[in-house]
Amino acid sequence: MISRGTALATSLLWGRAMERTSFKVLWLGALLTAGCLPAAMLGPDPGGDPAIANECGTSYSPGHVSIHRLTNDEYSNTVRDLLFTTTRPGDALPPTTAGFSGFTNDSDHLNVYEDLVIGYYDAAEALAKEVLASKAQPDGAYGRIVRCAPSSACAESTVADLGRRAFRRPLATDEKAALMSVFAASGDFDTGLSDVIISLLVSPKFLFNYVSGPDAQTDAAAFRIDNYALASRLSYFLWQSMPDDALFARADDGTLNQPDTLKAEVVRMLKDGKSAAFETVLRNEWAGLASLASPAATRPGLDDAVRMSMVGEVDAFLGDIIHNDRSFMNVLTGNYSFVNQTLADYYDMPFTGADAAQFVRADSSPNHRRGIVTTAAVLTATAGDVLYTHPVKRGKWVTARILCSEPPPPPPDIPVIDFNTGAGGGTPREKLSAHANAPACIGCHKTMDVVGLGLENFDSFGNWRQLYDGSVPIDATGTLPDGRSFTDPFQMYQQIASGDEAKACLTQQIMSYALTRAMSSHDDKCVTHAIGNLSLGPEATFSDLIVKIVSTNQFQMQTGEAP
Amino acid sequence: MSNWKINRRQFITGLGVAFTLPLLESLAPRKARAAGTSDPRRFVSLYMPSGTYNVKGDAVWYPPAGALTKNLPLVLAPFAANIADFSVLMHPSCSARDATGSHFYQVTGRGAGHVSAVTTWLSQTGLTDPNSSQCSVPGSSFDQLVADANKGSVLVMSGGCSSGSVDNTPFDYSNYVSYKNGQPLEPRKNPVDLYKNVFANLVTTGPSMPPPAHPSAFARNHSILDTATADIKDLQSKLGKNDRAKLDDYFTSVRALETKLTGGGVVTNGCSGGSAPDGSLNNVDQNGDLSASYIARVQAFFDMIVLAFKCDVTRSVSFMFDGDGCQRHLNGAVPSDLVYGNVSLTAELHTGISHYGQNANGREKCITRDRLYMMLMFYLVNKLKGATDASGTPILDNTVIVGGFNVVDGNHNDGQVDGVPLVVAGGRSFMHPGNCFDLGGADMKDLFYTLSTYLNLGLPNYQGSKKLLSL
Repeated sequence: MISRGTALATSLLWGRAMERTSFKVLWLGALLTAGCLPAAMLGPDPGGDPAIANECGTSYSPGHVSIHRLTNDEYSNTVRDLLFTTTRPGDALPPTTAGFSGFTNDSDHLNVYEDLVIGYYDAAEALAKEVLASKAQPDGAYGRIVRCAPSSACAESTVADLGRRAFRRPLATDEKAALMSVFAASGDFDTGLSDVIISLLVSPKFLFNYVSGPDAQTDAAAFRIDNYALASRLSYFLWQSMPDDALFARADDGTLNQPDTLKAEVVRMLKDGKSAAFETVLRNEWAGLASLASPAATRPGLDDAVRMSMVGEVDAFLGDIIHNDRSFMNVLTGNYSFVNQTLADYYDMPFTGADAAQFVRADSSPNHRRGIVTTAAVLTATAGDVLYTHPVKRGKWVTARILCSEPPPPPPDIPVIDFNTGAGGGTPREKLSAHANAPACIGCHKTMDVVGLGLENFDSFGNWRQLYDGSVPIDATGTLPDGRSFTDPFQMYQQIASGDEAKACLTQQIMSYALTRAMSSHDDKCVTHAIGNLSLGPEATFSDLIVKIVSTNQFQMQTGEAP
Repeated sequence: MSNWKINRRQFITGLGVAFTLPLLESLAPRKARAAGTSDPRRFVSLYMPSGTYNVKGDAVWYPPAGALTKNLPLVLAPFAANIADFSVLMHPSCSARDATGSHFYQVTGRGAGHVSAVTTWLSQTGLTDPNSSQCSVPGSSFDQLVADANKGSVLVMSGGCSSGSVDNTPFDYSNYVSYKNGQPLEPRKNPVDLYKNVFANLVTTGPSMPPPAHPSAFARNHSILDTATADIKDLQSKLGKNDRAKLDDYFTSVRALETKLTGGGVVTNGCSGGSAPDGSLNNVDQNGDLSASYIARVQAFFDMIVLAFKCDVTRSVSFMFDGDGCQRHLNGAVPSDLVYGNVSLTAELHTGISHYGQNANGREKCITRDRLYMMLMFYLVNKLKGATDASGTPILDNTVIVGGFNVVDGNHNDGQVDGVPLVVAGGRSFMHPGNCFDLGGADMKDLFYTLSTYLNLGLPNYQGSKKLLSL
């Protein structure tokens, strides 16, 4: 019989290499068969999803989520909900960039450094001052935080409540004592309150989401996270902010991790206006529209009103998916769109709304388009240039975002292809033909080139065209690597959408964002495949997908790490 | 996502390499220097990214060897007023760059790669492990050696993009120019934050200054930060190795914050706090296309170089104009009087400009963009010329500024290039600016060894070189 100590020591010897391979699952399974490992090391799937169990077993690894520093948007949203401010201090902090997961909330990528901490302190002082300044205002922040007449007892209850909300869980006795020491050193009630607010806002227990527990420092041990950590994971996933009172209550009474309660909370939170934060992440980071959506980022040759309307279409589309609980596969195949007058004119389609500025649903897509991926916004953002299209860049976006198959960088000394059709040298298809005959190229380009060329009927601002430069016919036909042919982009996307890869990939992308880490292990890929292809039927809605994700081991558990 | 992409925290902690910022306290100004003591000597590196055009038979960077005349080559022609302030160094070689290969990222071969260009520019040595994605080098880069000799820190700054790369592969090149004991030094990219954190508290000599109008809460109640440090230690007792490392960074930063909040100004000779850069220059141009504020932002950084030297906050500066491979558009940032060939610089900095052979008017675009970099370099030159050391000597005369590219050719056609552009400005107290020197293939290690003697570093050699060049 292998002792637990030996099992753990052996796991340490195998180290990191095992964590990301299937060997570990098999090895743990072998030990389980031998009856040697304690049950605490295994993680049964909280959601009990039969499809996941069938594909991946019930003891798949949850993986490890690093301590998560709040992104700037999460910081702004959290202080909004904690201190009722309307300012957005996170906007003044050094910008957050995308990590390995492709999203800016990647925990591994969110480091800490002096300029940032100084920014946090300055913001904390300003926010504390703002709270005190609201004292005389009816329904001001002060009155919402201090709900008793100033006294020692009131100070204790105010600090306990504020601390609980700031740390997103009840305070420990020593934590409350430390904060009361800060309060007491200040001299008067209001100054004490201000100093406690600053203390809280520079504490790592506010600035970070983290998971602790008896097995947090046991390497490779899988353990359940508590309901408060689960509430935070859920609220930062769907709202980019702290839990609200209702979510806290479910954590308090210990029911949040029960399937029916969890599902009810997911549905409630998706309908809440705070889910607009999630919608913005999908637009800016998944669809890649952050630059296009920036008010200051004009594009030569593109009218600003048209540009903002393009972005508005994607906002409305995503908002509809989230708030009206449609299927996320609609981003690929949805046969409807949202237009205002400006965009309807751009697409040359009728506008049926009463208000030219408002987006209304059109029950069919503009010609040759489906879902978000062929909206003018996404096609413009992925075109590669304002004067002419780069098929490889569009193809690369699709392979990365829709198929989760982003190619590595090209080998060195590869000449750059000039896709400017006005410069001569043939059509983009002719210029890319060399890839088909080059063994060093075809491995990466076989999908990128086919997909990118399949989108050539859209110019660099997403307008439909049949000719290059008014004279050369565009050939947008192609054959995907699996042998299926297409004659237009709509057909291409239908074929991509019907494949396992796309469903698994879209699930993987959402799950990466939910977990704040890349989904790179064997178990991760197994679960996203199972959810994308087996758990979700053709009528599955967005909330169905979210419920599946938050019911996994990955979301409700954590793998420990040695100190 | 493919597994070849680096995980930054794994990169940082996997083999014990970590990014560091020079600690704020080590950038504190020195005590007042009595008149008559020798003036300090400083070093500035200005790295220009991604390579450019300087081909044989049309070397737009190279004047004839010998004394500079007002008849300067195309890139330098607008700056004839400064011919007494700088020298051009022709035909340098860089054996470290040419030998550096990396399996991590599109870098192999002679000077073709961006990683080799960036990492060898100031280190003049190869990667510690070419098979690793860590891009670490052994020891410290030249700018750090200057700082070490002066018991200070390097001021590392970058105007570069945070997410720049070739083909959108995440890799922040500006993190890999300066090294301290093998660890890359992360640059500061926000001039407003830099000013606030390093320069805002500096005071002049003379009558005592009034206390700040709004003292920090910490100044009144030090226990405010005690809970933060206690909470850090508490969390560290409960979490794993990598999470503890991140909390270490936080602890270090809180300590630096405490120092800032409790330290007052230090009296220095002739140093004043200057004025803060405009708020619009913060958190801008780090991703996406360059805005019209690029010039103002770089000038704000350069103003702080001048202030740093006046206040003797540091004697070593490393600046990167932009990240190698930054695929972003340079939208109209170049003043019209510097534009050559009536070109428009809306193309992407990397493949749209540096890859001059692939683009219409590529040569003219390179010349125009390079004039922008030189305009900014001479902005710094002129500012340093206008500031004086205690002896009354212009600070420029006691400062060496090295500016240039380290990618051999912007179009990766190494065989057709005449030589990599390299300009050295200032240092009149110990060098001979105003000339074009033909290095005849002398290695950059020789150049840096030579500079080390001018800067009194006391090095026995530099990366094995003991060869003195006559500059």
